[in-house]
Amino acid sequence: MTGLIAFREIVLKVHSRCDLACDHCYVYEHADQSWRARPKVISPEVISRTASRLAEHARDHALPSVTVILHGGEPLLAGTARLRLVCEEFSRALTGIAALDLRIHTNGLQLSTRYLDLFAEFGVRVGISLDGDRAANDRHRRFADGRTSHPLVLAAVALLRSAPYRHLYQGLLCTVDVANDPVAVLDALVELEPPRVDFLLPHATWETPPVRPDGAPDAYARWLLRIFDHWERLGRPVPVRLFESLLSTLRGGPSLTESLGLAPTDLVVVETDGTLEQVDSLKSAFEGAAATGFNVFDHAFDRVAAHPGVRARQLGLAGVSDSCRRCPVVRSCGGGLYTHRYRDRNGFDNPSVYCTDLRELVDGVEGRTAPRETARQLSDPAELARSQEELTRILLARLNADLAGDPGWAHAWELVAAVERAGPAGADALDAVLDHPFTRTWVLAALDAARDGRPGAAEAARRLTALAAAAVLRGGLDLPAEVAYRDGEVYLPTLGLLRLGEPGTQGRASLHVTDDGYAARDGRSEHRFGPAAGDARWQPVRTWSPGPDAAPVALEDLDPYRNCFPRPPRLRLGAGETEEWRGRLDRAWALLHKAVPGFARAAAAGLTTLTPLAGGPRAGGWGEAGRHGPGALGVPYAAGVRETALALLTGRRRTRLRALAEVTDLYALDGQWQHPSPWRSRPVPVSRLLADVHERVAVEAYRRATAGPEPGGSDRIHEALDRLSTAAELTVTGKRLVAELRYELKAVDA
Amino acid sequence: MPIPYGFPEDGVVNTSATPATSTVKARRVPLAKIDVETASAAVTLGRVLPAESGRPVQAPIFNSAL
Repeated sequence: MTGLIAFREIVLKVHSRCDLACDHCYVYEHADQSWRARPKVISPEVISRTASRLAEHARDHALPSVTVILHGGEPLLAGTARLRLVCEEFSRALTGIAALDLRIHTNGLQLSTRYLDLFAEFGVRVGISLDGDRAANDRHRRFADGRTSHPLVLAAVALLRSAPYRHLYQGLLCTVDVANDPVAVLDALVELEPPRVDFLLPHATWETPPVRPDGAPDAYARWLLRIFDHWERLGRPVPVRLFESLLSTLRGGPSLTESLGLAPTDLVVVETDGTLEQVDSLKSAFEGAAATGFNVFDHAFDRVAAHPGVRARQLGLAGVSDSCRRCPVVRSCGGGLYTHRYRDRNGFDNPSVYCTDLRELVDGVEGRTAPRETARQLSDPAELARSQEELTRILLARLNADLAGDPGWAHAWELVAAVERAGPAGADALDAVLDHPFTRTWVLAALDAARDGRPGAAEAARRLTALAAAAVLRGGLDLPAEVAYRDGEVYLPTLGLLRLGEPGTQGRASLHVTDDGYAARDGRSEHRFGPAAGDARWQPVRTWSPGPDAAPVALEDLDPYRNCFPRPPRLRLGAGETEEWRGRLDRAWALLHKAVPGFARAAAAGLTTLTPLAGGPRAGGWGEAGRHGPGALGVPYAAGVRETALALLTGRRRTRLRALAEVTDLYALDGQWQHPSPWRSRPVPVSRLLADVHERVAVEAYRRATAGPEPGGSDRIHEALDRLSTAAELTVTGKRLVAELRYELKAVDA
Repeated sequence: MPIPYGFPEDGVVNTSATPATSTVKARRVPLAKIDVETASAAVTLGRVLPAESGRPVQAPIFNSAL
């Protein structure tokens, strides 16, 4: 079978009865009463067969790890002997196939050193249900005769927290009751120093809605937000899965619980008789809701994974109701727990019965945390540059992981490492060559080649050797700088192109620093060259100075990896052409600073490298950004002054957005929704709409300051911004960017 | 002798994003010691290498247990 999402999580019901009589329990008190017909204790045959099935499943799907959660009823009622058998059978079956993560979730009443010694032996981590302080816990978690369970649970937690067992303490699970005092509940939980906590909404459906004492549709949101605020006041003393999940999805990451978000379900339940069921909270919906018709004796886990009921909870956005798909918080709430969507009339094709609560909760958490959760790279150009620098370093390390077995690469890697170890001068020089924008182009191309299985180690090693040599020369380091040349020449990143032999020849040469420049030794001959002047064998990278106070910008027409723009680069410019281009760049830069000084300053920040491109300007004369580091920009060489100014402006806007998207999460699930665009005939993904707006705000400003605005141009941008403001894909950082674009446009309009 | 930045005409351009005096350099992990298998590196790489952004191994999500 193909397209299956493998189960990584098995909920093993080891005992089907409980020693408490909680009136909010979904197993015994809700629609499904199938527990009555189940064996009380899981049998050795079911244990053995389930372990074999899981091992088979893990092997077939090459799962690195699986989690087995011992559950009930009350799992400790199975007794130590049966639980030992469970631990032994699963450990044996999974050995050599996948890592085994064993957990148990209990009410704690039976927990003793006998159990904990067993759990310590097999590394079984223990989670305990506790609804908060005594008053809160006693509201539901009582014995059948009405006695409190609270002191016994506290004793169990105390034992679990004691020295020999502390490492097994998984955390506390608390079911919400809005009649409880949220502050007292959190305080009571925090006092027990759990490694983690989660709050569960009581199971409910549209047929059996949750209790709402004051009739308010958002009672649960308000209760949870009071917990959130207190949690914040306490300095987030313990991870709370519910809140961590919301913070993760708001940042663009995955959800962390099946009750929130769009992550596909990957768990299956094994009942005490070996019956395979979907997630058991479905028992709250209707009799038989969790059934699949499969069991561990006759069916592989793949059969359950293909079950329509399981697949329905793996569809992500396509698996939620129509109104949920149009909701801006659906990435975070995911339509809520599947069970909570049930209605007799149409099954699960509904928003959650907690919809109002979930919306308010997501908005509430976002409103409280957005300024802190917004990526710093958005407002701090230095942080953006630092993150980009780190990205190149991680990509290079990733490439090293692919090519470390190649002797030529390993040698080059050692040369680079030696440069980095050579003190501050070495680190600065290495940064300079790694931050050369086309270093990124080369690393990405080399990673592509390695991934596709194409030979590329020799070329990668040559480039890395040249990088190390360029750093040695730039830093004036007393280190070997050996380069390998091909076709008679080698490009030294950021410095220039050195000819060392006849066309078609290859070999190696040694470079070193001299009093007034550099020298290349090839056998017995030595060729001296320098950064400022070329000769027949040396073509230095030329520069252009944007102004007296600005750092020079490289006019890069030598690096072979500069061919990364949507159109081809020019070959090496002649001296006269370079002078002409410098003149056009001077005038374009002056025009830009006069017309849109704020945008011009932003465009100048971080610009290090301009590459002349072949052909004339495109319609609109916009600049080109390619697959390179953030300092580069491609500009059509033949463009006039006005087109060059616009190319500098738009190209730098494209580069900035690309740089942001490479190191922050501006959106998630790009392409899952299609948005109407004022500038395109067909709907576009959010990334396209955002890119268009990001660029057009600057263009609108430029046009207003020069040739006059495009009729209706500002209205179209506002229209796109309005659309973006309600896009579910945007993260807190993406929303902040949209707010800044709106502010920029208002300034232009003003 | 280090080559100074900013030649008036053709010369050496400073492409580095991190100022030479930055303490970031001293704090960061050396290239040879970067672990690309960490969760944080996976997130960083996943943004630019889509082939590596597959579903990460994540904590169990079962609602009724931790």
